[in-house]
Amino acid sequence: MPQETSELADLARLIDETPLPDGGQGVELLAVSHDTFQARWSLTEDIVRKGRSMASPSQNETHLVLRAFSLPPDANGDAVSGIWQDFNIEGTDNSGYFTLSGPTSGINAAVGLVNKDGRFSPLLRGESIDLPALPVKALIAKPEPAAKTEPEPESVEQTFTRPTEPRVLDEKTVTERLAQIDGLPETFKVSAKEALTEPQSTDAFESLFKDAGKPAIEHPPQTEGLDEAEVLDAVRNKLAAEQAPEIEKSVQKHINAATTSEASGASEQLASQWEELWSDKAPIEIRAEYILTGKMANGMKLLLGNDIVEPTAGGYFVWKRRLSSFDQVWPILQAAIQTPSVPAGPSLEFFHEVQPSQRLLELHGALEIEGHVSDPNYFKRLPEELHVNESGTFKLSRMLPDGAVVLPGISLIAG
Amino acid sequence: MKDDTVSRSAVPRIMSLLLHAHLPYGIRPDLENSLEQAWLFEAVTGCYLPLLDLVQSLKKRPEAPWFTLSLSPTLLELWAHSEFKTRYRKHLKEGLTIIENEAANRKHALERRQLALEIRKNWLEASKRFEAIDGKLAEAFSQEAQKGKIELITTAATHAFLPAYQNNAPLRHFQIENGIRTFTKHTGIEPKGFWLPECAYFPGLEADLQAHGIEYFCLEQLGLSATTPPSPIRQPLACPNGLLAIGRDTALSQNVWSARSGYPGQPVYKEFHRDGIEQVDEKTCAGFALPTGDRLPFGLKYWSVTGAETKNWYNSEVARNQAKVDAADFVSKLEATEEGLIFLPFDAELFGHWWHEGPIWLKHVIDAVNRSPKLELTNTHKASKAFKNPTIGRPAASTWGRKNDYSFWINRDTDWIYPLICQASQTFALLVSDLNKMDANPLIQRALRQASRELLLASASDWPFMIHAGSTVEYAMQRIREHISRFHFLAQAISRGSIDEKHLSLLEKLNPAFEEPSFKSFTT
Repeated sequence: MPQETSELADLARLIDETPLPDGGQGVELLAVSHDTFQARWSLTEDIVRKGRSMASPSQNETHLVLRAFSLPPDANGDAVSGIWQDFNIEGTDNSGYFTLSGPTSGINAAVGLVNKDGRFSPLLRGESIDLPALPVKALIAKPEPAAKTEPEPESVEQTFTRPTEPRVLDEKTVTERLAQIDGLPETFKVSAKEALTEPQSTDAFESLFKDAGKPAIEHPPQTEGLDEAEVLDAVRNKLAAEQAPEIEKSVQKHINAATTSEASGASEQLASQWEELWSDKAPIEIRAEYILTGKMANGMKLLLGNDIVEPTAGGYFVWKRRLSSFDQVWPILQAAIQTPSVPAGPSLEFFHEVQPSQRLLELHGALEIEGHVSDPNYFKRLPEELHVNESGTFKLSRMLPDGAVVLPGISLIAG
Repeated sequence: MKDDTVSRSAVPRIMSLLLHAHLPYGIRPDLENSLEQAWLFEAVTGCYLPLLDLVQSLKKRPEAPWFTLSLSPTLLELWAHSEFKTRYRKHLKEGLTIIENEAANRKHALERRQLALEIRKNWLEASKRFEAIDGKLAEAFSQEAQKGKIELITTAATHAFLPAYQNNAPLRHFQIENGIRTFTKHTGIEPKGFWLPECAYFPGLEADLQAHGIEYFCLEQLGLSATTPPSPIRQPLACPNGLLAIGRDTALSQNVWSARSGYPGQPVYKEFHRDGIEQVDEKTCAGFALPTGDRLPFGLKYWSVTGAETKNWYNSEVARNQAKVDAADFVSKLEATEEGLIFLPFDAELFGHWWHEGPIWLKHVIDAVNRSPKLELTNTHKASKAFKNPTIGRPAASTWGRKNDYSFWINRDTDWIYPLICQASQTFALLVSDLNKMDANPLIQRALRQASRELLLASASDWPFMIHAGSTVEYAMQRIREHISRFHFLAQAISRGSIDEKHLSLLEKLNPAFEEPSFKSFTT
């Protein structure tokens, strides 16, 4: 075989030049968890234009949605049901992660237009999928699915819940410990000091549990005219302050930090051994990832600061930056909570009007924040809207809009 | 549990161990060293040969095999690779030189030199075991199965994450059928059980398995406990089509696999994550480096877990005693477990590879369970059939990964992989249906087989796992890119009628796995 090395190199070059066929048009669905799925779709402007003219006399009065239909257990094939949830979407060739307002055993989805009367005109349909089961423990704490039935036109609201179990609150201890945490934003510490001036015990206790009997705290629905300036500023400021690490090193750092591999004979390299590992050295631990995903045309590369991002098969790429210190992540968490975005937010598309295969670049930005509260006394310090599960963990995903994904120093280069 | 639910056994607890052995396919004929080859050789020395030794040491047992071993088709194909035996022998020979240099190096601490001698002894034992079977691992395990000591089963051809293909039945059947065919080819056994890659299940998958003659499959506990109404974990669940689903006991398993609290984390056990090869000079270990100069894992493990950054020297006698203590602790937990079925599947590579003392612990557990009046040890097939009138229902979608959902394999890092695989499988279906209409000449048949190999290899669940776990990300990305690109290169050549025989031969040499893949699933 060694003598064939040069022939192999020639063949590899030839293979690399082979164009991959375009993806089909449709909605492709992937199950992720008990309440989350991923959808990828590809529309042409022509289909949208025709759809708009059929959906509404005034084409400006329609908007694109991904409609997820909840399926009854044992539903067959492409069945759909009257229980659905709409997600506002943007972009003709896009993908996103969609979180349902409650668990369901299976879903189907369609991308289509909703007109001002709330009528839905599907443009692309998917095929049904089963979602993983909700972990049994969490079944108790989760609210019933908040679902809508035809013909109600409004978007379904996202719901968040607080833990409903009574917890013992010790404000004094909380404040003392907060003061000792390095890197904690001053605003956080101040609010804790203010808490000390409140009457101890009774009032604080009541305020903590005042929502215990409510099924859910309603939150504004996903918005279209999104002002995410705060998110962007936080992301830009924090990212600009750091050198851009290589993706592999960046991820590896996370793994080392998140596991106790060096202190343990077992390994995190086996799927069955993965656990939610938190150090428990702090009462609240949070980490965030800023993720750029997308697709670029054959022969292109993306320059992000000093990083060169090369596409993998099909032109896809993933670039991540991990933030793990409390003072970096906390303001981003606050901002993300206050300004939720659409699940498949606007993307940067160069040559948007052309066929997907001819587009030079699509770029999507997302923030994923997860955290763990090891001391129940600290639940009150979290934003009220955050859903913390029974094991004390929470996760939040947000797409970033146009502009947020355009970091300083981003360039598309040929070759 | 009521007496009438258990048949043929007066023992209150039926315990079944299942070890699943799997590595992604990859031996690079064009390179002397590669990451995938280093993984394979480490696992052969540390896990597969000691495991075979353990099985051979067990007595024949007329009532039932001792436990079940799942051998993945890619692992079987690696063992059968034309270069495997020669290269492993060379690896042992050259590696022993490094180890002997370590033992003779007076600059090293005495402890290190003594430990190098222990490692040398292990390598010599591995060599002896390997020669005793002439390197034919599949045949050796198969012989033990024929003697009734173990039950052998298998999994999907390249360990694809099947719930990602819920709407792609041809690809699922392609994986299942070729997995079983490959297993039977190498072992001569028709498996009764099927290891779902990553224990990943979605409702309806049992119909695919039944179509290929499977009688039972394994699941995460959530797959049973999240059914409506919840199914008891202490007995199998009978699917509506009659297949039996058997659920892992998560709490008991955690005693072993938990990275935080499991036995392998005992301070006296051998530290896996630190390899003394990093301290060996470049010239000495030139034969154990990648073309880039990066060191490959080797196995100079001199330290114990310790529990701190500064590691203590490893003491094998203390570690062996600890394995005995931990085994006794585990068996006492088994005896105190609720009556009924106790199903415990593990990655085989945990034993001996990741957890050096794992095989010793396993042997003690098997011996102690065999002696216990409260426990009956049996293989998974027999355990699944041991219950009269099991509950009937359909399991819930689940995996044995983090959160028991699909998120470790389907996420922002990896979601782009699945449309590429589905697109390639659609292309393949078109190619096959076109060729059915004509008499395909041998060259086209060869190209088609090679394209199908590339499609199978691209679908392995190992790639998304590596990417999301942050380990060897570039390697996994590269593997997907290569297999998908080669697939389309061949598909386009077949469509155009312009197959270059020389190119095809090169690709066949690079990936010769699955000699005669079946593509029946794309034609029916």
